[in-house]
Amino acid sequence: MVVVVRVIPLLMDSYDEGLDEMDFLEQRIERLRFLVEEAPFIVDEEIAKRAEVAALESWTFTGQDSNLIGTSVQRQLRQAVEEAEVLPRSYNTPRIAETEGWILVTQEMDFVIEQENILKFLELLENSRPKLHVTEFSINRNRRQYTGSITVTGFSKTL
Amino acid sequence: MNLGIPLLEKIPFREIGLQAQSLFHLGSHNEILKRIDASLLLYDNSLINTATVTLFEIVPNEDEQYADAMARVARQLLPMSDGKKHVLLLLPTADFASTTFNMNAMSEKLVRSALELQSNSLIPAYDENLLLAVNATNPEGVALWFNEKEANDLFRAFEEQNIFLSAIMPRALAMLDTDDETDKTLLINDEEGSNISFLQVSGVAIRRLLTVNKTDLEQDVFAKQWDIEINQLKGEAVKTMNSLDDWQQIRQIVTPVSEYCFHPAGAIKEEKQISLAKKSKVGMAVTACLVLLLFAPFISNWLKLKDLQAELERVEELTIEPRRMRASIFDMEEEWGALEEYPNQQVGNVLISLNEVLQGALSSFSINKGVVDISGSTDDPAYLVELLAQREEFYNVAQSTNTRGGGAQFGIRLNLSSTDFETYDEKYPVVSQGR
Repeated sequence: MVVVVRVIPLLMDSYDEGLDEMDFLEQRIERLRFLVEEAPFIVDEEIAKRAEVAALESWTFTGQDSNLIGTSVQRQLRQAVEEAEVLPRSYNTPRIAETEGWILVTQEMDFVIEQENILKFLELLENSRPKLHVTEFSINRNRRQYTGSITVTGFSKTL
Repeated sequence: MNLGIPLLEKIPFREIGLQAQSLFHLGSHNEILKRIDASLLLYDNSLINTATVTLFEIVPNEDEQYADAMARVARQLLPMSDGKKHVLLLLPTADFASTTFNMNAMSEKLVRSALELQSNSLIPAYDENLLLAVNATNPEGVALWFNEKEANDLFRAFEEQNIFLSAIMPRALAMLDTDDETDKTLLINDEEGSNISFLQVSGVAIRRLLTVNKTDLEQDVFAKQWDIEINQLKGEAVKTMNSLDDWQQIRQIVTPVSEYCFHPAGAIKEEKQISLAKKSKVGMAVTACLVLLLFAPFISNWLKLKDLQAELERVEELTIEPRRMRASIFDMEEEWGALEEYPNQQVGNVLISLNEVLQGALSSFSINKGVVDISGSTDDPAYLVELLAQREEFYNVAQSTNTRGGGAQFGIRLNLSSTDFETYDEKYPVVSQGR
Protein backbone atom coordinates (compact mmCIF):
# COMPACT_ATOMS: atom_id res chain seq x y z
CA MET A 1 0.00 0.00 0.00
CA VAL A 2 2.83 2.34 0.97
CA VAL A 3 4.54 1.43 -2.31
CA VAL A 4 1.43 2.33 -4.31
CA VAL A 5 0.58 5.51 -2.42
CA ARG A 6 4.02 6.92 -1.72
CA VAL A 7 6.84 5.18 -3.57
CA ILE A 8 5.31 4.90 -7.05
CA PRO A 9 4.29 8.59 -7.24
CA LEU A 10 7.77 9.52 -5.99
CA LEU A 11 9.38 7.33 -8.65
CA MET A 12 7.12 8.80 -11.32
CA ASP A 13 7.97 12.33 -10.21
CA SER A 14 11.65 11.48 -10.24
CA TYR A 15 11.29 9.97 -13.72
CA ASP A 16 9.48 13.09 -14.97
CA GLU A 17 12.17 15.29 -13.45
CA GLY A 18 14.77 13.24 -15.33
CA LEU A 19 12.87 13.81 -18.58
CA ASP A 20 12.61 17.53 -17.86
CA GLU A 21 16.32 17.73 -17.17
CA MET A 22 17.07 15.90 -20.42
CA ASP A 23 14.77 18.28 -22.27
CA PHE A 24 16.53 21.25 -20.71
CA LEU A 25 19.98 19.88 -21.60
CA GLU A 26 18.91 19.11 -25.18
CA GLN A 27 17.63 22.64 -25.65
CA ARG A 28 20.80 24.12 -24.17
CA ILE A 29 22.99 21.91 -26.39
CA GLU A 30 20.92 22.95 -29.41
CA ARG A 31 21.41 26.63 -28.57
CA LEU A 32 25.15 26.17 -28.09
CA ARG A 33 25.46 24.26 -31.37
CA PHE A 34 23.71 27.14 -33.09
CA LEU A 35 26.20 29.47 -31.39
CA VAL A 36 29.09 27.41 -32.84
CA GLU A 37 27.61 27.91 -36.30
CA GLU A 38 27.08 31.61 -35.62
CA ALA A 39 30.60 32.16 -34.22
CA PRO A 40 32.05 33.87 -37.36
CA PHE A 41 29.11 36.30 -37.46
CA ILE A 42 29.46 37.03 -33.74
CA VAL A 43 33.09 38.01 -34.30
CA ASP A 44 31.95 40.49 -36.97
CA GLU A 45 29.16 41.72 -34.72
CA GLU A 46 31.54 42.36 -31.86
CA ILE A 47 33.95 44.29 -34.11
CA ALA A 48 31.06 46.40 -35.40
CA LYS A 49 29.78 47.02 -31.89
CA ARG A 50 33.22 48.14 -30.69
CA ALA A 51 33.40 50.61 -33.60
CA GLU A 52 29.92 51.82 -32.76
CA VAL A 53 30.89 52.35 -29.13
CA ALA A 54 34.03 54.20 -30.18
CA ALA A 55 31.81 56.54 -32.22
CA LEU A 56 29.38 56.94 -29.35
CA GLU A 57 32.19 57.96 -27.04
CA SER A 58 32.56 61.15 -29.08
CA TRP A 59 28.86 61.92 -28.46
CA THR A 60 29.31 62.27 -24.71
CA PHE A 61 30.24 65.23 -22.60
CA THR A 62 33.04 64.49 -20.16
CA GLY A 63 33.19 65.18 -16.47
CA GLN A 64 31.32 64.18 -13.36
CA ASP A 65 30.23 67.63 -12.19
CA SER A 66 26.76 68.35 -13.49
CA ASN A 67 27.27 72.15 -13.43
CA LEU A 68 30.37 71.85 -15.56
CA ILE A 69 28.58 69.52 -17.93
CA GLY A 70 25.74 72.07 -18.10
CA THR A 71 28.26 74.74 -19.05
CA SER A 72 29.71 72.47 -21.73
CA VAL A 73 26.26 71.81 -23.17
CA GLN A 74 25.48 75.52 -23.26
CA ARG A 75 28.83 76.21 -24.89
CA GLN A 76 28.16 73.58 -27.53
CA LEU A 77 24.75 75.14 -28.23
CA ARG A 78 26.21 78.64 -28.44
CA GLN A 79 28.75 77.39 -30.97
CA ALA A 80 25.97 76.11 -33.25
CA VAL A 81 24.00 79.30 -32.70
CA GLU A 82 26.94 81.40 -33.77
CA GLU A 83 27.74 79.27 -36.80
CA ALA A 84 24.12 79.31 -37.97
CA GLU A 85 23.80 83.03 -37.35
CA VAL A 86 20.94 82.50 -34.97
CA LEU A 87 20.06 85.41 -32.73
CA PRO A 88 19.66 84.09 -29.19
CA ARG A 89 17.15 85.89 -27.02
CA SER A 90 17.52 83.95 -23.79
CA TYR A 91 19.14 80.81 -22.32
CA ASN A 92 17.42 79.08 -19.45
CA THR A 93 19.32 77.43 -16.64
CA PRO A 94 20.32 73.89 -17.60
CA ARG A 95 18.22 71.08 -16.11
CA ILE A 96 19.99 67.98 -14.81
CA ALA A 97 18.52 64.48 -14.75
CA GLU A 98 20.07 61.07 -14.13
CA THR A 99 19.29 57.69 -15.57
CA GLU A 100 21.19 54.42 -15.04
CA GLY A 101 24.85 55.31 -15.70
CA TRP A 102 24.16 58.63 -17.34
CA ILE A 103 23.72 62.33 -16.53
CA LEU A 104 21.35 64.14 -18.91
CA VAL A 105 21.70 67.91 -19.22
CA THR A 106 18.81 69.77 -20.88
CA GLN A 107 19.24 73.34 -22.12
CA GLU A 108 16.44 75.60 -23.41
CA MET A 109 16.90 78.67 -25.54
CA ASP A 110 14.64 81.22 -27.23
CA PHE A 111 15.85 82.66 -30.49
CA VAL A 112 15.16 84.60 -33.69
CA ILE A 113 16.29 83.05 -36.96
CA GLU A 114 16.18 83.74 -40.64
CA GLN A 115 14.29 81.13 -42.67
CA GLU A 116 17.36 80.15 -44.69
CA ASN A 117 19.30 79.37 -41.50
CA ILE A 118 16.80 77.01 -39.91
CA LEU A 119 18.00 73.80 -41.59
CA LYS A 120 21.64 74.81 -41.21
CA PHE A 121 21.10 75.30 -37.46
CA LEU A 122 19.42 71.93 -37.13
CA GLU A 123 22.14 70.23 -39.18
CA LEU A 124 24.86 71.78 -37.00
CA LEU A 125 23.16 70.41 -33.92
CA GLU A 126 22.72 66.99 -35.55
CA ASN A 127 26.43 66.81 -36.34
CA SER A 128 27.68 68.40 -33.15
CA ARG A 129 30.21 66.46 -31.10
CA PRO A 130 29.56 65.95 -28.25
CA LYS A 131 26.10 65.51 -29.58
CA LEU A 132 23.15 67.69 -28.71
CA HIS A 133 19.84 65.88 -29.10
CA VAL A 134 16.95 68.12 -30.10
CA THR A 135 14.03 67.18 -27.88
CA GLU A 136 11.81 70.20 -28.48
CA PHE A 137 11.82 72.70 -31.32
CA SER A 138 9.28 75.31 -32.28
CA ILE A 139 9.22 78.24 -34.70
CA ASN A 140 6.62 80.87 -35.59
CA ARG A 141 6.74 82.97 -38.70
CA ASN A 142 6.82 86.68 -37.91
CA ARG A 143 7.00 88.66 -41.14
CA ARG A 144 10.42 87.79 -42.65
CA GLN A 145 11.84 86.24 -39.50
CA TYR A 146 11.05 83.30 -37.33
CA THR A 147 11.00 83.35 -33.57
CA GLY A 148 11.39 80.10 -31.80
CA SER A 149 12.63 78.01 -28.91
CA ILE A 150 14.72 74.90 -28.75
CA THR A 151 15.49 72.33 -26.08
CA VAL A 152 18.58 70.17 -26.46
CA THR A 153 19.88 67.35 -24.33
CA GLY A 154 23.48 66.26 -23.84
CA PHE A 155 24.70 62.99 -22.26
CA SER A 156 27.59 62.38 -19.89
CA LYS A 157 28.62 59.03 -18.46
CA THR A 158 28.63 58.81 -14.69
CA LEU A 159 31.39 56.17 -14.50
CA MET B 1 -9.05 -7.82 -33.97
CA ASN B 2 -8.41 -8.82 -30.37
CA LEU B 3 -5.08 -10.54 -29.84
CA GLY B 4 -5.37 -10.61 -26.04
CA ILE B 5 -7.37 -13.78 -25.54
CA PRO B 6 -5.56 -16.03 -28.04
CA LEU B 7 -2.25 -14.86 -26.61
CA LEU B 8 -3.34 -15.72 -23.09
CA GLU B 9 -4.56 -19.08 -24.25
CA LYS B 10 -1.15 -19.82 -25.70
CA ILE B 11 0.60 -19.30 -22.39
CA PRO B 12 1.04 -22.72 -20.76
CA PHE B 13 -0.10 -21.67 -17.28
CA ARG B 14 -0.58 -25.26 -16.14
CA GLU B 15 2.94 -26.30 -17.21
CA ILE B 16 4.41 -23.18 -15.62
CA GLY B 17 2.52 -23.97 -12.42
CA LEU B 18 3.75 -27.54 -12.38
CA GLN B 19 7.33 -26.43 -12.99
CA ALA B 20 7.07 -23.87 -10.20
CA GLN B 21 5.56 -26.53 -7.92
CA SER B 22 8.40 -28.91 -8.67
CA LEU B 23 10.87 -26.17 -7.83
CA PHE B 24 9.55 -25.78 -4.31
CA HIS B 25 8.23 -29.30 -3.73
CA LEU B 26 9.38 -30.75 -0.46
CA GLY B 27 7.45 -34.07 -0.44
CA SER B 28 9.87 -36.13 -2.50
CA HIS B 29 12.98 -34.75 -0.77
CA ASN B 30 14.82 -34.58 -4.07
CA GLU B 31 17.34 -32.06 -2.83
CA ILE B 32 18.64 -34.37 -0.14
CA LEU B 33 18.72 -37.37 -2.47
CA LYS B 34 20.72 -35.43 -5.04
CA ARG B 35 23.51 -34.96 -2.51
CA ILE B 36 23.95 -38.68 -1.79
CA ASP B 37 27.52 -39.64 -2.62
CA ALA B 38 27.82 -43.04 -0.92
CA SER B 39 25.64 -46.07 -0.33
CA LEU B 40 26.10 -48.65 2.42
CA LEU B 41 24.28 -52.00 2.41
CA LEU B 42 23.65 -54.19 5.43
CA TYR B 43 23.76 -57.94 4.88
CA ASP B 44 24.17 -60.52 7.48
CA ASN B 45 25.61 -58.14 10.07
CA SER B 46 28.15 -56.86 7.56
CA LEU B 47 28.11 -53.35 6.17
CA ILE B 48 29.16 -53.12 2.54
CA ASN B 49 30.28 -50.02 0.69
CA THR B 50 28.48 -50.78 -2.58
CA ALA B 51 30.88 -48.67 -4.66
CA THR B 52 34.17 -50.00 -3.29
CA VAL B 53 32.78 -53.43 -2.33
CA THR B 54 34.72 -53.21 0.93
CA LEU B 55 32.88 -54.51 3.96
CA PHE B 56 33.19 -54.77 7.70
CA GLU B 57 31.28 -56.87 10.13
CA ILE B 58 29.29 -55.02 12.74
CA VAL B 59 30.23 -56.20 16.20
CA PRO B 60 28.79 -53.94 18.91
CA ASN B 61 31.09 -53.29 21.84
CA GLU B 62 29.90 -53.73 25.35
CA ASP B 63 27.00 -51.32 26.06
CA GLU B 64 27.19 -50.10 22.48
CA GLN B 65 23.92 -49.68 20.61
CA TYR B 66 23.65 -51.49 17.29
CA ALA B 67 23.08 -48.17 15.52
CA ASP B 68 26.28 -46.77 17.03
CA ALA B 69 28.21 -49.88 16.06
CA MET B 70 26.89 -49.62 12.51
CA ALA B 71 27.87 -45.96 12.34
CA ARG B 72 31.37 -46.78 13.61
CA VAL B 73 31.77 -49.41 10.88
CA ALA B 74 30.39 -46.95 8.34
CA ARG B 75 33.13 -44.53 9.36
CA GLN B 76 35.70 -47.24 8.60
CA LEU B 77 34.21 -47.79 5.15
CA LEU B 78 34.14 -44.11 4.17
CA PRO B 79 37.47 -42.25 3.93
CA MET B 80 37.64 -39.14 6.09
CA SER B 81 39.61 -37.36 3.38
CA ASP B 82 36.53 -37.17 1.15
CA GLY B 83 34.81 -34.80 3.59
CA LYS B 84 31.37 -35.32 5.06
CA LYS B 85 29.63 -38.06 3.13
CA HIS B 86 25.93 -38.17 2.42
CA VAL B 87 24.88 -41.75 2.72
CA LEU B 88 22.04 -43.93 1.49
CA LEU B 89 21.66 -46.79 3.95
CA LEU B 90 20.24 -50.01 2.44
CA LEU B 91 18.72 -52.21 5.14
CA PRO B 92 17.30 -55.72 4.83
CA THR B 93 13.87 -55.68 3.20
CA ALA B 94 12.48 -57.62 6.12
CA ASP B 95 13.28 -54.70 8.45
CA PHE B 96 10.43 -52.75 6.85
CA ALA B 97 6.78 -53.30 7.56
CA SER B 98 4.48 -53.32 4.56
CA THR B 99 0.79 -52.88 3.89
CA THR B 100 -1.15 -53.05 0.68
CA PHE B 101 -3.55 -50.35 -0.36
CA ASN B 102 -6.28 -49.93 -2.93
CA MET B 103 -7.65 -46.43 -3.11
CA ASN B 104 -9.30 -45.78 -6.43
CA ALA B 105 -9.80 -42.25 -7.72
CA MET B 106 -7.64 -40.64 -5.09
CA SER B 107 -4.77 -38.30 -5.68
CA GLU B 108 -1.22 -39.13 -4.68
CA LYS B 109 -1.39 -36.68 -1.81
CA LEU B 110 -4.67 -38.06 -0.53
CA VAL B 111 -3.41 -41.68 -0.66
CA ARG B 112 -0.41 -40.67 1.41
CA SER B 113 -2.58 -38.76 3.92
CA ALA B 114 -5.06 -41.65 4.19
CA LEU B 115 -2.30 -44.17 4.82
CA GLU B 116 -0.68 -41.99 7.48
CA LEU B 117 -4.03 -41.58 9.24
CA GLN B 118 -4.60 -45.34 9.22
CA SER B 119 -1.11 -46.32 10.32
CA ASN B 120 -2.20 -47.43 13.79
CA SER B 121 -4.96 -49.65 12.51
CA LEU B 122 -2.96 -50.96 9.55
CA ILE B 123 -0.02 -52.04 11.68
CA PRO B 124 -1.40 -52.67 15.17
CA ALA B 125 1.77 -54.50 16.24
CA TYR B 126 3.75 -51.27 16.32
CA ASP B 127 3.25 -48.88 19.19
CA GLU B 128 5.86 -46.41 18.09
CA ASN B 129 5.61 -43.81 15.38
CA LEU B 130 6.24 -45.03 11.88
CA LEU B 131 7.56 -43.34 8.80
CA LEU B 132 5.75 -43.98 5.53
CA ALA B 133 7.19 -44.44 2.06
CA VAL B 134 4.91 -45.15 -0.84
CA ASN B 135 4.63 -44.77 -4.56
CA ALA B 136 1.08 -43.43 -4.62
CA THR B 137 0.93 -42.65 -8.32
CA ASN B 138 -0.99 -45.90 -8.76
CA PRO B 139 -4.31 -46.44 -6.95
CA GLU B 140 -3.08 -49.74 -5.54
CA GLY B 141 0.24 -51.06 -4.37
CA VAL B 142 2.42 -51.54 -1.33
CA ALA B 143 3.22 -48.96 1.32
CA LEU B 144 6.37 -49.38 3.38
CA TRP B 145 6.80 -48.36 7.00
CA PHE B 146 9.85 -47.86 9.15
CA ASN B 147 10.28 -47.08 12.81
CA GLU B 148 10.77 -43.35 13.19
CA LYS B 149 12.84 -43.66 16.37
CA GLU B 150 15.15 -46.20 14.76
CA ALA B 151 15.67 -43.89 11.80
CA ASN B 152 16.47 -40.98 14.08
CA ASP B 153 18.81 -43.10 16.20
CA LEU B 154 20.69 -44.13 13.09
CA PHE B 155 20.89 -40.49 11.96
CA ARG B 156 22.26 -39.42 15.33
CA ALA B 157 24.79 -42.25 15.41
CA PHE B 158 26.00 -41.47 11.87
CA GLU B 159 26.10 -37.74 12.68
CA GLU B 160 28.40 -38.51 15.60
CA GLN B 161 30.73 -40.16 13.12
CA ASN B 162 30.47 -37.03 10.90
CA ILE B 163 28.42 -38.91 8.31
CA PHE B 164 25.18 -37.52 7.03
CA LEU B 165 22.52 -40.19 6.82
CA SER B 166 20.41 -38.89 3.99
CA ALA B 167 18.01 -41.78 3.53
CA ILE B 168 17.19 -45.35 4.45
CA MET B 169 15.85 -47.71 1.78
CA PRO B 170 15.04 -51.45 1.48
CA ARG B 171 18.13 -53.01 -0.05
CA ALA B 172 16.10 -55.05 -2.55
CA LEU B 173 15.31 -51.82 -4.39
CA ALA B 174 19.02 -51.43 -5.14
CA MET B 175 18.31 -53.91 -7.93
CA LEU B 176 16.03 -51.50 -9.78
CA ASP B 177 17.23 -49.72 -12.84
CA THR B 178 15.86 -46.26 -12.11
CA ASP B 179 17.00 -44.95 -15.49
CA ASP B 180 14.75 -47.45 -17.30
CA GLU B 181 11.57 -45.56 -18.03
CA THR B 182 9.60 -48.64 -19.15
CA ASP B 183 7.33 -50.18 -16.55
CA LYS B 184 9.19 -53.48 -16.68
CA THR B 185 8.05 -55.90 -13.96
CA LEU B 186 10.84 -57.40 -11.89
CA LEU B 187 10.72 -60.11 -9.21
CA ILE B 188 13.33 -59.78 -6.47
CA ASN B 189 14.01 -62.52 -3.96
CA ASP B 190 15.88 -61.10 -0.96
CA GLU B 191 16.98 -63.86 1.42
CA GLU B 192 19.05 -63.53 4.54
CA GLY B 193 19.27 -65.93 7.43
CA SER B 194 15.75 -67.01 8.32
CA ASN B 195 13.97 -64.25 6.40
CA ILE B 196 12.76 -64.31 2.85
CA SER B 197 11.30 -61.22 1.16
CA PHE B 198 9.78 -61.46 -2.26
CA LEU B 199 9.00 -58.31 -4.21
CA GLN B 200 7.12 -57.68 -7.43
CA VAL B 201 8.13 -54.28 -8.78
CA SER B 202 6.76 -52.51 -11.87
CA GLY B 203 8.95 -49.63 -12.85
CA VAL B 204 9.59 -47.99 -9.50
CA ALA B 205 6.36 -49.13 -7.83
CA ILE B 206 6.22 -52.14 -5.52
CA ARG B 207 3.14 -54.17 -6.51
CA ARG B 208 3.52 -56.95 -3.96
CA LEU B 209 5.85 -57.60 -1.05
CA LEU B 210 5.75 -60.93 0.71
CA THR B 211 7.91 -61.67 3.73
CA VAL B 212 8.15 -64.97 5.53
CA ASN B 213 10.26 -66.64 8.17
CA LYS B 214 11.90 -69.81 6.92
CA THR B 215 10.88 -71.69 10.04
CA ASP B 216 7.25 -71.03 9.16
CA LEU B 217 7.81 -72.70 5.81
CA GLU B 218 8.69 -75.92 7.58
CA GLN B 219 4.98 -76.34 8.05
CA ASP B 220 3.45 -77.79 4.89
CA VAL B 221 0.37 -75.58 5.03
CA PHE B 222 2.44 -72.42 5.11
CA ALA B 223 4.90 -73.72 2.54
CA LYS B 224 2.06 -74.60 0.15
CA GLN B 225 0.44 -71.22 0.61
CA TRP B 226 3.80 -69.44 0.05
CA ASP B 227 4.33 -71.39 -3.17
CA ILE B 228 0.85 -70.47 -4.38
CA GLU B 229 1.43 -66.82 -3.59
CA ILE B 230 4.88 -66.76 -5.20
CA ASN B 231 3.72 -68.55 -8.31
CA GLN B 232 0.99 -66.00 -8.82
CA LEU B 233 3.60 -63.25 -9.14
CA LYS B 234 4.74 -62.79 -12.71
CA GLY B 235 7.73 -60.82 -13.85
CA GLU B 236 9.95 -60.32 -16.87
CA ALA B 237 13.06 -61.02 -14.80
CA VAL B 238 13.85 -62.62 -11.46
CA LYS B 239 16.74 -61.54 -9.26
CA THR B 240 17.70 -63.69 -6.34
CA MET B 241 19.91 -62.06 -3.75
CA ASN B 242 20.75 -64.64 -1.14
CA SER B 243 24.48 -64.27 -0.54
CA LEU B 244 27.10 -61.65 0.22
CA ASP B 245 28.54 -62.20 -3.24
CA ASP B 246 25.22 -61.24 -4.83
CA TRP B 247 25.23 -57.85 -3.07
CA GLN B 248 28.91 -57.26 -3.79
CA GLN B 249 28.14 -57.35 -7.50
CA ILE B 250 26.48 -53.92 -7.36
CA ARG B 251 29.86 -52.08 -7.57
CA GLN B 252 28.41 -48.61 -7.70
CA ILE B 253 26.68 -46.05 -5.57
CA VAL B 254 23.06 -47.15 -5.49
CA THR B 255 20.61 -44.68 -6.95
CA PRO B 256 17.90 -44.01 -4.38
CA VAL B 257 14.29 -44.75 -5.32
CA SER B 258 12.81 -41.57 -3.90
CA GLU B 259 9.33 -43.04 -3.36
CA TYR B 260 10.67 -45.69 -0.96
CA CYS B 261 13.30 -43.67 0.86
CA PHE B 262 12.86 -42.95 4.57
CA HIS B 263 14.34 -39.73 5.82
CA PRO B 264 15.30 -39.18 9.44
CA ALA B 265 14.06 -35.92 10.95
CA GLY B 266 17.59 -34.48 10.91
CA ALA B 267 17.92 -35.14 7.19
CA ILE B 268 14.57 -33.51 6.46
CA LYS B 269 15.58 -30.51 8.53
CA GLU B 270 18.72 -30.10 6.47
CA GLU B 271 16.76 -30.45 3.29
CA LYS B 272 14.41 -27.72 4.41
CA GLN B 273 17.38 -25.49 5.00
CA ILE B 274 18.73 -26.30 1.53
CA SER B 275 15.31 -25.67 0.03
CA LEU B 276 14.93 -22.41 1.92
CA ALA B 277 18.35 -21.32 0.74
CA LYS B 278 17.36 -22.23 -2.80
CA LYS B 279 14.05 -20.39 -2.45
CA SER B 280 15.90 -17.47 -1.02
CA LYS B 281 18.26 -17.47 -4.01
CA VAL B 282 15.34 -17.69 -6.43
CA GLY B 283 13.53 -14.98 -4.50
CA MET B 284 16.58 -12.76 -4.58
CA ALA B 285 17.02 -13.38 -8.30
CA VAL B 286 13.34 -12.57 -8.94
CA THR B 287 13.59 -9.47 -6.74
CA ALA B 288 16.76 -8.42 -8.54
CA CYS B 289 15.01 -8.87 -11.90
CA LEU B 290 11.99 -6.87 -10.72
CA VAL B 291 14.20 -4.12 -9.34
CA LEU B 292 16.15 -4.10 -12.59
CA LEU B 293 12.93 -3.90 -14.60
CA LEU B 294 11.59 -1.17 -12.34
CA PHE B 295 14.75 0.85 -12.57
CA ALA B 296 15.50 0.15 -16.24
CA PRO B 297 13.88 3.43 -17.37
CA PHE B 298 15.78 5.29 -14.67
CA ILE B 299 19.06 3.67 -15.68
CA SER B 300 18.32 4.47 -19.31
CA ASN B 301 17.59 8.10 -18.35
CA TRP B 302 20.70 8.27 -16.23
CA LEU B 303 22.86 7.01 -19.11
CA LYS B 304 21.23 9.46 -21.51
CA LEU B 305 21.73 12.29 -19.02
CA LYS B 306 25.40 11.36 -18.75
CA ASP B 307 25.70 11.47 -22.55
CA LEU B 308 23.92 14.82 -22.71
CA GLN B 309 26.10 16.26 -19.94
CA ALA B 310 29.23 15.11 -21.79
CA GLU B 311 27.92 16.64 -25.02
CA LEU B 312 27.05 19.84 -23.16
CA GLU B 313 30.59 20.06 -21.78
CA ARG B 314 31.96 19.56 -25.29
CA VAL B 315 29.86 22.29 -26.92
CA GLU B 316 30.43 24.60 -23.96
CA GLU B 317 34.16 24.20 -24.58
CA LEU B 318 33.64 25.03 -28.26
CA THR B 319 31.59 28.13 -27.50
CA ILE B 320 33.76 29.77 -24.85
CA GLU B 321 34.95 32.48 -27.25
CA PRO B 322 31.60 33.14 -28.98
CA ARG B 323 29.91 33.34 -25.58
CA ARG B 324 32.56 35.75 -24.31
CA MET B 325 31.94 37.91 -27.37
CA ARG B 326 28.17 37.74 -26.96
CA ALA B 327 28.57 38.81 -23.34
CA SER B 328 30.86 41.63 -24.42
CA ILE B 329 28.28 42.80 -27.00
CA PHE B 330 25.56 42.59 -24.39
CA ASP B 331 27.63 44.60 -21.89
CA MET B 332 28.31 47.30 -24.48
CA GLU B 333 24.64 47.47 -25.37
CA GLU B 334 23.76 47.74 -21.69
CA GLU B 335 26.37 50.41 -21.09
CA TRP B 336 25.67 52.57 -24.15
CA GLY B 337 22.00 51.82 -24.75
CA ALA B 338 20.67 54.97 -23.08
CA LEU B 339 22.66 57.12 -25.47
CA GLU B 340 22.48 55.00 -28.60
CA GLU B 341 18.76 54.43 -28.38
CA TYR B 342 17.82 58.03 -27.56
CA PRO B 343 15.16 58.85 -30.17
CA ASN B 344 16.50 61.05 -32.94
CA GLN B 345 13.66 63.25 -34.22
CA GLN B 346 15.67 64.49 -37.24
CA VAL B 347 13.81 67.82 -37.08
CA GLY B 348 15.40 69.10 -40.28
CA ASN B 349 14.10 66.12 -42.29
CA VAL B 350 10.66 66.55 -40.74
CA LEU B 351 10.54 70.18 -41.87
CA ILE B 352 11.60 69.19 -45.39
CA SER B 353 8.90 66.50 -45.54
CA LEU B 354 6.22 68.93 -44.33
CA ASN B 355 7.32 71.57 -46.80
CA GLU B 356 6.94 69.08 -49.67
CA VAL B 357 3.28 68.76 -48.75
CA LEU B 358 2.46 72.25 -47.47
CA GLN B 359 4.26 74.20 -50.22
CA GLY B 360 5.05 77.24 -48.01
CA ALA B 361 1.69 77.29 -46.24
CA LEU B 362 3.33 76.67 -42.83
CA SER B 363 3.27 79.55 -40.37
CA SER B 364 4.23 77.72 -37.15
CA PHE B 365 5.89 74.43 -36.29
CA SER B 366 6.65 72.72 -33.02
CA ILE B 367 7.97 69.28 -32.19
CA ASN B 368 8.12 67.82 -28.72
CA LYS B 369 9.15 64.21 -28.15
CA GLY B 370 7.77 62.97 -31.44
CA VAL B 371 4.57 65.00 -31.43
CA VAL B 372 4.38 67.65 -34.16
CA ASP B 373 1.98 70.60 -34.18
CA ILE B 374 1.75 72.74 -37.29
CA SER B 375 -0.46 75.65 -38.32
CA GLY B 376 -0.83 77.73 -41.46
CA SER B 377 -3.28 78.62 -44.16
CA THR B 378 -4.58 76.63 -47.09
CA ASP B 379 -7.74 76.31 -49.19
CA ASP B 380 -8.43 72.75 -48.18
CA PRO B 381 -7.05 71.71 -44.75
CA ALA B 382 -8.81 68.31 -44.98
CA TYR B 383 -6.98 67.50 -48.16
CA LEU B 384 -3.76 68.51 -46.40
CA VAL B 385 -4.49 66.05 -43.62
CA GLU B 386 -5.10 63.36 -46.22
CA LEU B 387 -1.80 64.06 -47.93
CA LEU B 388 0.14 64.00 -44.66
CA ALA B 389 -1.54 60.78 -43.51
CA GLN B 390 -0.35 59.04 -46.68
CA ARG B 391 3.29 59.64 -45.77
CA GLU B 392 5.09 56.81 -43.95
CA GLU B 393 7.01 59.09 -41.62
CA PHE B 394 3.79 60.34 -39.97
CA TYR B 395 0.87 58.74 -38.18
CA ASN B 396 -2.13 59.92 -36.11
CA VAL B 397 -2.52 62.87 -38.43
CA ALA B 398 -5.52 65.01 -37.37
CA GLN B 399 -6.76 68.59 -37.32
CA SER B 400 -6.06 70.11 -33.94
CA THR B 401 -7.90 73.43 -34.15
CA ASN B 402 -11.07 74.67 -35.70
CA THR B 403 -10.70 76.07 -39.20
CA ARG B 404 -11.33 79.77 -39.60
CA GLY B 405 -11.74 82.16 -42.48
CA GLY B 406 -13.69 79.77 -44.69
CA GLY B 407 -11.20 77.01 -44.11
CA ALA B 408 -8.04 79.02 -44.86
CA GLN B 409 -6.51 78.69 -41.37
CA PHE B 410 -5.65 75.22 -40.09
CA GLY B 411 -4.01 73.49 -37.17
CA ILE B 412 -2.77 69.89 -37.50
CA ARG B 413 -1.19 67.48 -35.01
CA LEU B 414 0.70 64.36 -36.02
CA ASN B 415 3.17 61.86 -34.65
CA LEU B 416 6.57 60.80 -35.98
CA SER B 417 6.76 57.13 -36.94
CA SER B 418 10.50 56.88 -36.31
CA THR B 419 10.52 57.92 -32.65
CA ASP B 420 9.12 56.33 -29.54
CA PHE B 421 9.93 58.36 -26.45
CA GLU B 422 7.40 56.44 -24.39
CA THR B 423 9.26 53.13 -24.78
CA TYR B 424 12.60 54.83 -24.24
CA ASP B 425 11.41 56.49 -21.01
CA GLU B 426 10.14 53.14 -19.77
CA LYS B 427 13.41 51.38 -20.57
CA TYR B 428 15.64 54.13 -19.21
CA PRO B 429 13.61 55.83 -16.50
CA VAL B 430 14.95 59.01 -14.98
CA VAL B 431 16.10 58.11 -11.46
CA SER B 432 16.71 61.64 -10.23
CA GLN B 433 16.08 65.10 -11.50
CA GLY B 434 17.86 68.23 -10.41
CA ARG B 435 17.64 71.85 -11.26
